[in-house]
Amino acid sequence: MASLKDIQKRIASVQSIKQITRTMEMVATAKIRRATDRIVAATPYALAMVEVLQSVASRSTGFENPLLAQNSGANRMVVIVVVSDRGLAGGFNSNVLRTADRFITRMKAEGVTCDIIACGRKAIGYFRYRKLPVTLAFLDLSSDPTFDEAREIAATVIESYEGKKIDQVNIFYNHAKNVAEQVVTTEQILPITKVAYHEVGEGESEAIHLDESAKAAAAGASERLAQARRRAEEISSAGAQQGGFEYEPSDEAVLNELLPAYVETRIFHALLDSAAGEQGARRRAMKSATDNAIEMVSTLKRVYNRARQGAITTEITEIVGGAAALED
Amino acid sequence: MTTLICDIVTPERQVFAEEVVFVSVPGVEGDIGILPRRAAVMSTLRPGEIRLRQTEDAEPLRFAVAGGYVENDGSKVVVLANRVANLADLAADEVREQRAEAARKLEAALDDDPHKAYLRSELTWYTLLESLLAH
Repeated sequence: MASLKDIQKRIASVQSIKQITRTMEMVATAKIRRATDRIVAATPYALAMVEVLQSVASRSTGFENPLLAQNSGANRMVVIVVVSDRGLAGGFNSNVLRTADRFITRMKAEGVTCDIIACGRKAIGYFRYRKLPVTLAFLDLSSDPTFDEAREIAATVIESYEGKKIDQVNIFYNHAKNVAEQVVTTEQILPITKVAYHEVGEGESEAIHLDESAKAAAAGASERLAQARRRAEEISSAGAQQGGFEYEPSDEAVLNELLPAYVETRIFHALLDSAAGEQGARRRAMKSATDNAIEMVSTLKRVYNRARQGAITTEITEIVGGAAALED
Repeated sequence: MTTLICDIVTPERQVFAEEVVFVSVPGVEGDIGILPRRAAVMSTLRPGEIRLRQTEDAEPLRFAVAGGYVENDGSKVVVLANRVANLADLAADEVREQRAEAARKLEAALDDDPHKAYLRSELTWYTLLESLLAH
């Protein structure tokens, strides 16, 4: 049996772990709030973008844009993997990495090579260990994504796609479904599909429900979303009939400018979503770590007390035995 | 008096959402002045200045914009901007310093620096701000 001192040491160390995990939990809680605020702040742009794009797209059918066309024959695609820079967030990173890895392996079996764009330190380490080359890497931004990062990723993939060097671009990230739950999500970024137009709007409105206290903002935003939807429908139906908009320089030029910006917006949205998810995952992981530490301390205390009791009993027995021996 | 709703949004946040009587935006093919019930227009923007009047005789609010899009349907103007700054919030000497800083960083960057494009855009942006603040 461990000595009293050993047990005491262990109790102290578990207690200090508990302190750390509890602090991390609180920090993550505060950061969830910030991450959610950022998503809410980014929503108007995304909504307006979808709105504008829908109205342009509905009017200008029959335009050829390389980003809308399906490339084929390059046997190469780009996989954007969004994870966090730091661990201690439960299965947050490994879930995404495993899904992406499986996808890459499957593609390889079909004869398609995947280029990897890694956002977050954890992804870089993972792919380096598996000897998969990373073409572009972003560090130290996972909890605080900037639009510049999204822009740079978008610029890279758009250039390769337009040059027909790649057939498809997919993004893997954690979608923060609510504070406690993250869902690994795969989205096709390029070529842009009609269905995808709607997804940004929906994703945003879901993400807003992350934070209870952001409810007011959510109500406003979802109302706007509904309004935007109605208007987009009106415009598209009206546009089909009379072609109401005047385009400068031309509708095609506007569409050509809008599509890359739309790609940027989608990537940015994924980054924000993942950042919010990261904090949620970390809070949950740290909460269960704290709970475990509390339980462990109480178990150890019991063991300690039993050992102490045992020691005292032994001592008394010895004294009594000694006294009895003297009496004889 | 008829008014327009004007939204200025950037990817990161909503900068402005209020009623105005007049908006002027820097379109690629020249500045576009928008009054209520103007014909619907959709245009890309060049770097320049957005001016807004909230009432007929108010001093215009001035925003610098680095590019983006504008959509107007007669009752609402939506500016989707890459980057926006309210000129009233800026101090001329600070901007001058930031421009000098950006120029120095660009100068120091190596030829194959992946961030070169970013540094160049920083310099363009601060140069624009400086020139707008000058008058």
